[in-house]
Amino acid sequence: MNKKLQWLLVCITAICLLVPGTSFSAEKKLKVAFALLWTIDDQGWTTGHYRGIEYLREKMGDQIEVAYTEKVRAADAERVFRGYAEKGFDLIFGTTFEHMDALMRVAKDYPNIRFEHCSGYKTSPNMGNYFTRMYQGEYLAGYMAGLMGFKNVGTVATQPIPEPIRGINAFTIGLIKGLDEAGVQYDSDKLNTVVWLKSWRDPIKETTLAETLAARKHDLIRQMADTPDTSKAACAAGVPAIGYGTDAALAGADCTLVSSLFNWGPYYVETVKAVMDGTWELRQYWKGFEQQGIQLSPFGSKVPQDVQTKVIAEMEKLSQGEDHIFAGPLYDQDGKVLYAQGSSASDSDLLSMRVLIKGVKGNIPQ
Amino acid sequence: MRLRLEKRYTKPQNEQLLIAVISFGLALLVGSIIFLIYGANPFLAYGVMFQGAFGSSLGFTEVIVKAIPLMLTGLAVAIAATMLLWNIGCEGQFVFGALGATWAALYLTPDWPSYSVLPALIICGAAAGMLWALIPAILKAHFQVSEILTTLLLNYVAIIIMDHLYFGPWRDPDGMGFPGSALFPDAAALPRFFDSRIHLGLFLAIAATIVLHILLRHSKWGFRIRVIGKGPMAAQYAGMKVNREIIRVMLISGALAGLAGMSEVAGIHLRLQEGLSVGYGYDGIIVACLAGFRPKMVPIFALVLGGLIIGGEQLQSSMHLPASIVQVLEGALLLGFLASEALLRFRLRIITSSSPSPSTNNA
Repeated sequence: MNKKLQWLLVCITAICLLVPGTSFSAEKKLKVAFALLWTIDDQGWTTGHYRGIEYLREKMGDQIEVAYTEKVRAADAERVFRGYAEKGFDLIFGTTFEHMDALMRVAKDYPNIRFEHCSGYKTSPNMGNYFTRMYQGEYLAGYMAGLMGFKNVGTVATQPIPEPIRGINAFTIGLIKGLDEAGVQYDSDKLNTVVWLKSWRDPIKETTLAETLAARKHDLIRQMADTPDTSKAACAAGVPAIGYGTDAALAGADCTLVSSLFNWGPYYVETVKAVMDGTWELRQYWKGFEQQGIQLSPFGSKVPQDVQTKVIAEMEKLSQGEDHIFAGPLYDQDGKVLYAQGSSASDSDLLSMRVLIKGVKGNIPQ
Repeated sequence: MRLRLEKRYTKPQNEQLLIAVISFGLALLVGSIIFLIYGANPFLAYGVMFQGAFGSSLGFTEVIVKAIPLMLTGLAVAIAATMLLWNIGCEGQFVFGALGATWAALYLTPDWPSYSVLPALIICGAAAGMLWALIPAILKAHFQVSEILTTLLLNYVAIIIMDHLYFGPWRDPDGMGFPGSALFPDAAALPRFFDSRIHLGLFLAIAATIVLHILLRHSKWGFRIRVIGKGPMAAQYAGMKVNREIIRVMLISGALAGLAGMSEVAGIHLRLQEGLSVGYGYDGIIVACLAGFRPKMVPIFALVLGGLIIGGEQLQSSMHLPASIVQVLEGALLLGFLASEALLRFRLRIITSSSPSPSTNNA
């Protein structure tokens, strides 16, 4: 029986061999590949990158050939990158943190191919990294919430690492600014209560945490996860929400006041052009509104016009490159000075931030 | 007219061949339907898959790389199933194997002579997998708690423990606060062969296959556990110590899954990080089922499943089909296996009112 089974496998093999593979056109186009963390319709991180890919195709589709692979986890990353490198791709993007080491290894073996890694910290001569200053959008969302008088926000945070911590702080800074401008009294020990998913996406737990926060009478619920389920649960509980990453209102959370959006497209176009012109060079790209790296979604209908105007004015400043969000005086949760008047957090402080500021309730789980 | 399932008392001669044909036939059929729905030519799609998996040396070596953990977890499921134990917990034991190896690489052996590092990793990986399998083993042997439930649920516990370690105490101090342990020292990386990513784990998996085959088919112990699998009560009457064998077999199973985790973390990732646990423990169940729970067939089906996964990836980059098709095909394979097994054990009879049933007096 064993022999027969082998024979069967040989037959299947033979049938498959008879079918010709795909052929590529001989035309010389720049070949660009993306490895994606999850599926392109995940309504979160990967959808954000896919929007960027679509933007790239729209702008330069006639000059380049674009391929992507979904669901590339760390276990498969090196193979996927090596496969694209072997197929002669000129520019390869790893779009999530867990691609970093695999990309480093492959970049070393293919010095003539350009590699770009999103959201990490390692680079090599032919591998740059890129990220967007999402905290600027979070700051604006906080500012809007403050102007509208929300002073008991509940946040469903993701992983207790610098990027979300930075976002929580920026939101809280904006919230305080907004409340001060609106002249609202508040308790500065519990402006923004944080609970942790300890995951980037976990729709069930997001829903549970959002429902819990709503039941505890928080007046606004802020989503930080990849998936829009926090916002959806908040809407279902009758509490307004703030979305993150992609527009939560488009995903069905119609009570969303605003969402801060990743906008990778302009960066992808810029990088592809640089490789085409031969001007690509190693850099650690970290930009916000000044390069349209992020956007705000359209405001929800409950946001008053004057608030919208103020938030847009603040956004204009950021677009001009005036980012003073983390300027002192800033205090930690115990009231100790983190940055005195006149000083502010450097980029390297921001990138390794592991402290929550005054106004945030909750702690960083270890 | 009615349909009725009747038990068959004779087994078809080439049962395993039939099962394989039906399973793969069903999977190919389901796949074809999906390809058609997406407007793709199924022949072309299967051609792309096959070329992706076996059409280049990169593809083929990567199929083998994929097959390494699948072989080990497949063996783990198969050895337990021989005794009618369902170890659904290979994923957790896999994670623990990775934890044991990481601990050995980063905290136990940094000052050891380099020749002793890999043996330490292998032993720690296997031991950690055994440790995680010991809990359901004891619960099953002494308290008759279903191992299906305990092994499955402990998977989630293992993953939470792993998350905690690389977010917390084991986080790389130079990692800018990002999750993940430090990179392993060079001495703790499994050697790679054939100018590819094929690593030492392959030879561990092959050795494990041979040893298990010999033990099961040609030793008294193998006979004992096969007897226990066929009839635990009879084995008990015959004076076999069933509880002791339950624990022993679960430990072997856990050690194999632990070795899979060790070989992944020390052969592929070189650090403990997110994306380590991607379901090799569950895929091992499919491999073991298709192999009919016989160790010598496990490597073949591990290669087949590995080929399916690697080839399926090409569907996206070449034909822009969604990634999840591979999972659907995997599911169809397992479903096909279950269906074909049922069909071989039972026969479907169509009973019309004019032809009274010959064997029984009711229905």
